[in-house]
Amino acid sequence: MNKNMKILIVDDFSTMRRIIKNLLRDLGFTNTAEADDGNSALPMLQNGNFDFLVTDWNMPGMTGIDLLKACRADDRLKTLPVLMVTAEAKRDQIIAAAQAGVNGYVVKPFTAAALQEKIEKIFERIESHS
Amino acid sequence: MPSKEYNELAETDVSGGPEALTKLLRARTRELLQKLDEGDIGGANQLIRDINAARDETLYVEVGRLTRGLHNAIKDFHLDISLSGHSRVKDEISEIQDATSRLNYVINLTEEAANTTMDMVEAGGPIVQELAEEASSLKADWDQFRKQGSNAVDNESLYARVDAMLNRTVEGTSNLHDRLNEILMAQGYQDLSGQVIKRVIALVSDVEQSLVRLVKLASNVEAVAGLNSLRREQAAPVAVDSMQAEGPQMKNSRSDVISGQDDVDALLSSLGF
Repeated sequence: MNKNMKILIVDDFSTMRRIIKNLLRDLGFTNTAEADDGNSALPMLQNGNFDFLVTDWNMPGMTGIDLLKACRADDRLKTLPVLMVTAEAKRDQIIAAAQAGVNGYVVKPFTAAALQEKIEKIFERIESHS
Repeated sequence: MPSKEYNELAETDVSGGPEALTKLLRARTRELLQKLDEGDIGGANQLIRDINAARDETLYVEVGRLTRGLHNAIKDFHLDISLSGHSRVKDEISEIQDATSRLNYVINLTEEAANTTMDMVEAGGPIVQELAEEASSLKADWDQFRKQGSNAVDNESLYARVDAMLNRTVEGTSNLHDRLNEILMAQGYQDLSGQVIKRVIALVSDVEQSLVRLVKLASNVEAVAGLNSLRREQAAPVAVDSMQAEGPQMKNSRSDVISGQDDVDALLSSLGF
């Protein structure tokens, strides 16, 4: 796994972005950027050569699920690995995220270990497919 | 929060009106049949007029009660709506608005506490890392010194490093101690936000009780007027969008909600993840 990969963290709460940023830094990922909802994240993703997207679901403006769908509909972003980190925990929502093409799903409140495990799993799978 | 007017609303007799009318109707109907049997058309007409008047009067009384109840509810919660001749209401802060700003205060308070805590953790991290690196490098020399005696290492330099390490440890741990204390103090937000949230919960349940009383008053008006819109409205179920984001879920409170990361993983793996 490339520790220099460029990661976009999308959450409407700045404290949650900061927590995720700190956890990622502890895991060795220091090349991160932040956005506060899907509307500001999408243009960044389209122009920024990001390697990984970590997004919340419930945000004003464009939600995380809509951002995920927008990525999958965009030729340049359809294979971008996406990890959903969210408090949304309804069965239907998780199934919808899976159908929309999410690569991992972490429910809040979460632990550093859970985040690490999901990220490793996502990139193991990607590397084994390529 | 429950004011005098609020208690008046609570004491308003919401039963009796329609029931009294029903009793009167029964009694008069018997009389009416009797008059008709006797062939007294004039008396029968008079009775029908009496019944109509009684119905109108009950309706006016019930509408009056509903209006007073509504007025009291508005005064109770200082709702920010202007009624002609009641401009006083507008001057007071609406309790709903007040609750909104209180909840915003909770958001700010929790955000501030989270940021303070993370500031301290971020500032403490490098101190811990530096002490750990220094200690492990010193330990390597110390182990060598213990194994091979004083000839193996430069004693003067080892003494100097031990001295520097001890100084840095005293300084660093005192610094860390201060930061841990600040983290502890930042947790005071829990008490403050808890108090605010309790007040807002009390307001919401007051509003709910007032609304229930208003609905009862309104149903009296509808019963007298012979309407039944309430029942029709209740029959129409509200469509729920299961994809709508709802924020954090209380654990195990609903069957359509998953209880933790393990269940999420199980569900995803059942979908081929």
